[in-house]
Amino acid sequence: MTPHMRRGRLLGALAFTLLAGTASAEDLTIALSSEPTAVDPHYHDLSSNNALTMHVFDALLTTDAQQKVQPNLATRWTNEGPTTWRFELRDDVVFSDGTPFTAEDVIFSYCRVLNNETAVSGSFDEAIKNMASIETPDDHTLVFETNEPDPLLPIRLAQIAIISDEIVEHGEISFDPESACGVTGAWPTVNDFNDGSVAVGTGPYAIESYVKGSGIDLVRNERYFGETPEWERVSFKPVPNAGPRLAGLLSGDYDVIENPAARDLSRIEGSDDYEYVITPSSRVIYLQLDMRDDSPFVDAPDGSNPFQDVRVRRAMSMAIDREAIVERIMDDAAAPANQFLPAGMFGTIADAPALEYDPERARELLAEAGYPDGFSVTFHATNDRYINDAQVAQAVAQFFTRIGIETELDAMTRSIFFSRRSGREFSLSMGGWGSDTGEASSFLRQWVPTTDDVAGLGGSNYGGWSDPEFDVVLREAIATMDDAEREALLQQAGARVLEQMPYIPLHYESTIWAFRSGLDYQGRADQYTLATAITSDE
Amino acid sequence: MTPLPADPSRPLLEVRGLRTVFHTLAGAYPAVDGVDLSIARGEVVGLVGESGSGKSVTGFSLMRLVDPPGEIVAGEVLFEGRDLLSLPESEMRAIRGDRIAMIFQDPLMTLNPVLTIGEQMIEAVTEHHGVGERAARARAVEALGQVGIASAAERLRQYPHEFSGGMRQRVAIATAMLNEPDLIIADEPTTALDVTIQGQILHEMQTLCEASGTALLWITHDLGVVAELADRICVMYSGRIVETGSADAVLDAPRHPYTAGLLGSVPSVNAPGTRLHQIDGAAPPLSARPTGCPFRTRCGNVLPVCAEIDPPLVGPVPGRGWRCHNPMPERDAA
Amino acid sequence: MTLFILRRAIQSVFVLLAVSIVVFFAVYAIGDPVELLVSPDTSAAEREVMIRRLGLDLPIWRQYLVFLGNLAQGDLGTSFVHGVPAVELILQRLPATLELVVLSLVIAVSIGLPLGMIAGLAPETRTARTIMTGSIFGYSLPAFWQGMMLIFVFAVFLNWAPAAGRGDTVSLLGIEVSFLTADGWSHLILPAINLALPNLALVLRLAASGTAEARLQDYVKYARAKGVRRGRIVRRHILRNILVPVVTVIGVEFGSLIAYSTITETVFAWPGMGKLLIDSVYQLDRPVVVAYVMIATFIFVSVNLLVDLAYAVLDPRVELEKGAS
Repeated sequence: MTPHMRRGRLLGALAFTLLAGTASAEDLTIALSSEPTAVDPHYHDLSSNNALTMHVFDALLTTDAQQKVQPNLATRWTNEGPTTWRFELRDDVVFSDGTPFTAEDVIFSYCRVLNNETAVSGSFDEAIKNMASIETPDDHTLVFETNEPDPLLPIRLAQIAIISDEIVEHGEISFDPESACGVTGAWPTVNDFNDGSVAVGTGPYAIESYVKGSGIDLVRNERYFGETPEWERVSFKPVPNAGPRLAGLLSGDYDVIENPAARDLSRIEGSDDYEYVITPSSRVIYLQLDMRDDSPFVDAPDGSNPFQDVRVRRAMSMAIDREAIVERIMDDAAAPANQFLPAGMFGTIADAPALEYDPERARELLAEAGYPDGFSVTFHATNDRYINDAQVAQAVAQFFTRIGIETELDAMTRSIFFSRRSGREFSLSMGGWGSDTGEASSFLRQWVPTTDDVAGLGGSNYGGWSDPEFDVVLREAIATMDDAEREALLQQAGARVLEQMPYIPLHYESTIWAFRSGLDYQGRADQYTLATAITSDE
Repeated sequence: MTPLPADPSRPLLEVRGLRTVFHTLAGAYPAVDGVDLSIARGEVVGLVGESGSGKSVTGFSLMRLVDPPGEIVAGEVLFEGRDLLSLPESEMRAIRGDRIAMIFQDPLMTLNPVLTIGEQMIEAVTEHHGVGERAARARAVEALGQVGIASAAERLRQYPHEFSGGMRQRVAIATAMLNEPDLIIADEPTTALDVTIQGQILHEMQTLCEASGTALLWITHDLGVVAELADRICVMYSGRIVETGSADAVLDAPRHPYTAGLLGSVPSVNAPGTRLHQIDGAAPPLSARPTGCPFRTRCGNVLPVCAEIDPPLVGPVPGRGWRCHNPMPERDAA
Repeated sequence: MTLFILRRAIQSVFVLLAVSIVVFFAVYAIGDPVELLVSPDTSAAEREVMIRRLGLDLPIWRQYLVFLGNLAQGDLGTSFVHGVPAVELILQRLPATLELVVLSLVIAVSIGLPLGMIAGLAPETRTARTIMTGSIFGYSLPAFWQGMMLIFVFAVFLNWAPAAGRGDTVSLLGIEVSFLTADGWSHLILPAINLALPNLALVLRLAASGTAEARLQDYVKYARAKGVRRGRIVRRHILRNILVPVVTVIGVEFGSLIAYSTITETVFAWPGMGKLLIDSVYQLDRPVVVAYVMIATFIFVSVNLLVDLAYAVLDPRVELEKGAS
């Protein structure tokens, strides 16, 4: 839209605003950097899918811009013992088709997660699988009984959208997975949602159309129980390539765009017509080191694996100038990391010291550890997954080489990288991890503990790091229901990792949004783009 | 310019001092070097010469179909009193194919392989006259019939590659006659055909032209061919007419040594058993024309003066002449 | 003619089969798609479920046989990433790609052919030389750069057209098409030009060289001798003769554009098939890649057949039956 047109619409909108409060007849067009692969909220746990889900559906709880749990369909929740929870639901909510929302819909939704044949495995079912039983003392109360204590149950439930049980044939709904929970008809599939017929939610918007490759159109749900959304219609357009996405903003085709390249921001900087926001996210970029005796890509003069020595690991961390990387490669759209989740989030160490850059000391440590002449290593990274990943990896490789660790970089496309990494083919690799629970245990339990598949710990511990001291603290932490106690334990576990350095954190990515002036968006730590949080300041 | 009324005593076509040169990197070489020619209404004129003599270029020059690097640089081509060389192109186009038609040497190359015979014949009519396609088609059918092609209507729908060489040339003849032109220029029309067919074609052309009163300029290297057909013969060498006269005169009593040589090498003109005469040497290339008479390097009658002075065209009566300082002796009519 | 088509159809089946083997084994031998799909904290048991559901637990030749079996029933597999049948994904995008490609070829031919003929009829003139030099830019400038330039000049700077995406569609015989709406046209025009430019240059140069050669042919001289007007000579005599190479190129380009107009689709966020292919390769969405290559091959083979049939119409000397095509 040209400034001229905007002024015209502004006057119109102002007039309308005086009559209708904050709700307007305006549309919002958002260009996405990756396209949701389905409308089905239980299909695949992908950021792009989840962001769309939040517009159309609600969960019992929701997460705010800092990934903290907030009430949503449930107004109160209490913990009545290590494995018992009581949730009280709102009684004034209806689905977009007018049917009332009750506890039965919750049970149906959770049952559906267990019966979602077309879903990508492991999406959303972790919490449900831990449910021993779900009771409904009345239509708007739920009592959950879990098998194992799970202090993170609220945040896990915040990720599972509630769908209407009116979309299937059913008898009496109860949480009885053995007998299909009382559902008599066919369970809905991903296709059913895509054509819109069963995509009925309680959220602020309803799906008007979903055309793969072309875009998703949402229309305001006038029956929404919460604050009336400002925009009457929202259009999401998938534009995976950054150049055209920016061009679309500049030409007025898009109001908001995701992830402009940081170095394109100078184009917007001086202009009065556009603004941008850079918001810290929970995604940390880090290095993983292999602890096996015979590591495939490490070559030390004495044939040992230097990574087994904590002094070597600390030296490597000290060799990296994180500030330089953030400033010169990430164009300041990042923050140097001193742990594995930005400070301020649950379980992080407050005021943790910055990880120092001291190449001299690093050389000394190497010599102390018995590698005065260093050693050589091949470093593996992606070149198309994280922001500027190839350039960051190159910088890291150079930093290592400067202190005597001859580092050769092998950057590859993600589809090959991830397969090889999980096949334990690497000695030194770079990865990224965003916390989907918004708290510290997410990284700590996935990467650091000795691998225990039954307990679901250390699933990504490809390097084989095993620290009994850490394992004890972490296991206790994840079973502790008391928030304060749990936080202290998590901090303790986190401190242990920083002390031992089997993983070397590099930086936290920030997320950038750019939009036309007249709009405002604060961004979110989970990197979702929510139309409900985009306001116009006209 | 309006055409002058047809005057039977005036020649149909009168060419004066025609010069056509070819521009090469080394200069402009005259392929047609001062040619004078005239054709009367209904007359058959044979233009004879070996390859390189300029006879084909003469034919194209008359039609103003000389393409770069060639260029007509001098002369007049008076057709019914109008100088064709000074006409605007649009008027010349109107004359081509309508008043003056041309038959090329190899009809396989000259017929467009992707268009039907019918289309290529019909366009010859419709591009000149405002008749409808059906009328033009009817004319084409009739013309094909006249040249002896059976099932003409069907044949019109066929493509050139479906015809034999002789048939294609018949088609060319039929096409040339479609608009009842005053003059047909035939450039070696039978050279590419079987000897047996040659005779037929010759005969047919003769008959047709006589019947319609069409003049014919028959360009060929084969003196034997024109011997039967022509009323008058012009012999060309190195860009010029070196001998001209009635067919009888030229064939019975050639005066130019080149003509005599040509005759001596024609099987049909000589008595059986006579040793055929070959003219020594070859025609000089355009770039290396000797001074004086261009034929002197191969001439049996050469004199010192031949090297200095280019022989003018001389003759006893208008219409009979030769360019030679030392012509062949007169012979009594045999 | 029917025999010819029939024989061709049978040959095509063999080609498709051969292609299916090659692409299937190539794609299935690389990487681990499950790794890319499931979140890293998925348990090993759940991974097994996924692996089994996608049929990846079978040895590769068994997987191929399963694929063939499904193929016989018209099922080309289900996308790992989208969870819907691969064919559906591809065919859904086919109309968008088709209208873009057809429009771009129309532009390429309707501008390239006349310009090329103009240049070929008088090759020594300034006009001709300008045209020919200009055409070099058409195929030597990278498509991505051309596309971005088009966007920046016409969408951002002049605001004459939208920067990306497809316009409003209407349903024509059940297919969503955008060329019947004004909004559709405003979205179509820039990507169509972007896609057209290299082919325009190609057609132009072919037409120029063909025309330059044709006008020296005897049949042109003969037509002039018959007094045929220049316009008709160009339209009927010369044009018909240069169409054969032009049609060949168009045919080859058509197939290639349908399957692989990825760059233009990326730059203009055009919801076509090419982009789907690249994304599927990246995500190791194997069924989509295999289905895609099969469909692309089918398109190529069909277009090839049509081109051969067109030859027979354009050049009467061509005989189909003798198997000479």
